Amino acid sequence: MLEAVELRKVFKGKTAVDHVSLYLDEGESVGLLGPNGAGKSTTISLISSLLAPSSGDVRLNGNSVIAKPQQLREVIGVVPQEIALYEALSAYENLKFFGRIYRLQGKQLEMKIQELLEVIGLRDRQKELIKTYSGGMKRRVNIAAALMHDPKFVIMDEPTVGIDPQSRNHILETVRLLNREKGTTVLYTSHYMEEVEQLCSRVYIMDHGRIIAAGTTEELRRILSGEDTLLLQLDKPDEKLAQELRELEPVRQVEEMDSGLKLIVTKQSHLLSEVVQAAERHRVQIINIHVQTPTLEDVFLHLTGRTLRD
Amino acid sequence: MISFFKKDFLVYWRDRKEIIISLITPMVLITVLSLALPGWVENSTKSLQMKVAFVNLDDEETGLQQIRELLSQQTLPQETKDLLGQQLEQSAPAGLFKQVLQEDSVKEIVTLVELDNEEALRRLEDGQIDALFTIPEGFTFAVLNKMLLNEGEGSEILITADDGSLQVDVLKDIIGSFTRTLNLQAAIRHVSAGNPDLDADRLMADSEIGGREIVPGVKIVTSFQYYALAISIVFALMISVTVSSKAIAEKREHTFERILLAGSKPVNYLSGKMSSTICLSLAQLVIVLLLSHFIFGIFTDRSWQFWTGMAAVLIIMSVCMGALSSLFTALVFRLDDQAASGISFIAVIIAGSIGGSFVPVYVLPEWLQAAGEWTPNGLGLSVLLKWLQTETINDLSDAMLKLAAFSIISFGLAVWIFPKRGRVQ
Ligand SMILES: Nc1ncnc2c1ncn2[C@@H]1O[C@H](COP(=O)(O)OP(=O)(O)O)[C@@H](O)[C@H]1O
Ligand SMILES: [Mg+2]
Repeated sequence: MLEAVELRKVFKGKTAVDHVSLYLDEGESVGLLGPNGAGKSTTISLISSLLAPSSGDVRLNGNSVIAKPQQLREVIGVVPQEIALYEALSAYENLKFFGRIYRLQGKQLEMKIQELLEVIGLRDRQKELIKTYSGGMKRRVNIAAALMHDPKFVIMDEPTVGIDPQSRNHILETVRLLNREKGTTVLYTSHYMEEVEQLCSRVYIMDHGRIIAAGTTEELRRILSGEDTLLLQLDKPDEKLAQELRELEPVRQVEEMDSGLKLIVTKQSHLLSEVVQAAERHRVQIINIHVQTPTLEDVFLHLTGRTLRD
Repeated sequence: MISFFKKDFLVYWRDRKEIIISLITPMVLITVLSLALPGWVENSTKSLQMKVAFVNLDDEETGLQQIRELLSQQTLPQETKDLLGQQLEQSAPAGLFKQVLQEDSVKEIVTLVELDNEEALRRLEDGQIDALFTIPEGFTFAVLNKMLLNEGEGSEILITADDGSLQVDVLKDIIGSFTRTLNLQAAIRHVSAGNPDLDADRLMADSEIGGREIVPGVKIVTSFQYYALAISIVFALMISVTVSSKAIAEKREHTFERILLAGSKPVNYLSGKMSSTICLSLAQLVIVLLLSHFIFGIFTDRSWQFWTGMAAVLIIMSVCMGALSSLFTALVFRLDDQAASGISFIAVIIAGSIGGSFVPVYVLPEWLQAAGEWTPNGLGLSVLLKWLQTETINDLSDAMLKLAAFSIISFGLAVWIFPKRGRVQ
């Protein structure tokens, strides 16, 4: 088991990570969810021994690894948020270098490189330089580089930001394969709710350096059991209508979306008619009303009053 | 370690822009500067002129008298004794040496003043003269005794100078060629003593004395030679900065974090920078110098000894550049990027300037020239220029030891200041 205990990191007076505790049981797939600036990357650097915490501890099977991270470093693979590759080298050369520094050699090294290139689907383009790759291809190599030494724990920091859907699916598939078929423990950081909901059995939600909620996806959704999500599809956006709805008693949150409004409301039967009347007063036509079961996105909105993508 | 070398080498190698800069620019600069500023280099190396005092501590008459007495005691044929006796007057060695100094080719360089010992030393200290020749006491007797009778240890003319400069090398050469002449004479005399058919004087006339033979080692540095060496060396220095600056990208792009996570030792990481810089700067030096040689013919008719010596200096200098590169890399991790590249840049500009890479060292004030020899590029350049002129092995080995020490210290320093915590800041 890998655990973080009351981790704290202060940068020049600014607390980036504030008493964060979390754990990863072997074979689990755990999500770390939070908007930009929440402190996810810093938390990962602390856990993976790249940063020294201001206070708190990181433990591997109960032993602190802060002072002597060597034991931990052998069993974790970290996929950084940035593309941490040599642009001037090919995918093959990058993997070879990173494999070598993990003391892989000869046939074993060669086989591992080809195996991972197969997994990320870049075998036929392995000789091309990283700088000629698309963002998605770079991201895939970025993952492979962290897997060269068959780590027991893999920590991924937003591995899918800013890439095409095809690469994204490929990456999600890779993570699933790692976790389900190889039994690798995964900590998956993201600000995409859908990904975490799909991949992870347990989730930590982070905001402003703190863990604000934790549990299985089911447990987290239950936070919202007293609430519904209403999706209103409107013919045109209307600021004033949103304002008026916000002031209604049972409405907890109103979020403006592309095609209308998203309302989080306490379960109440006569609300719908009030919404319809308000729309009529503002001469906005409701095209569709949809009552949704809550998602993690809604949980986050509920907890912080903000959406994840702000 | 090999993997770090390969990585650093490839990263540089793929940077075509960098490669072109390090090969084309020097060639252009060498051509332009050599054609534009030949006078700055060539006039300065021509002026080997020096004032030398001649101090004679020997009593020539007494020496000759002693030899005459010894000769008369020898059991030699009377004929030979007469012949030797006749020649004694002309062959007083101190006199012969003075004759050598009167030769035109020597007079071009050496202005002679005859002084007593104290006065000469005083003027040397004041810098009014550059060196002094001392004929030691008993010189005439010792030399003739050795020469004519093959007895005793002989004697030597002494040179005193306050620094081991090129000029002293020239003086040594003059004495060296004088001694060879004496030895030749002695040999001929011994042969002719047993064989009256041989005419010693005729043989002497055939042998080469004077003329070019007197200052055999010293050659003038041409502006092409100067700039080929100076420019290629400063570009090697720049390679060390460029290779180390790739560490900024490794820090920024987090590849260094991966290296840390793999548990690699700082020494391995730094030796990757060092070894790749050694290869790259050596390749650069060799290519630029060979190109200059083939295009401008700068080293034609040189001995294999010259080429070997130059290769040795270039190799050890590349090692220095490698060590510097590791030091600059360590700075990148110790300071922030801007500060580190600022410091490396300033270091190269200063070392390049006082080391004579931008303007000929000869135009710098003397104290700056001296300071320049404390930079690896400056020392390398000055020793290669000397080597071009005199091929004196001692100068070479001295400088190579210093360069080796410089490399060891720089690399040690790099390892020492490299952050050890194995964490990023
Ligand atoms: N090296 C640093 N120095 C100062 N502040 C930092 C540093 N790294 C991160 N921060 C700050 O810490 C906070 C959390 O950052 P980060 O961990 O990158 O968040 P996330 O990964 O969730 O987007 C941010 O406000 C960021 O500005
Ligand atoms: Mg982040």
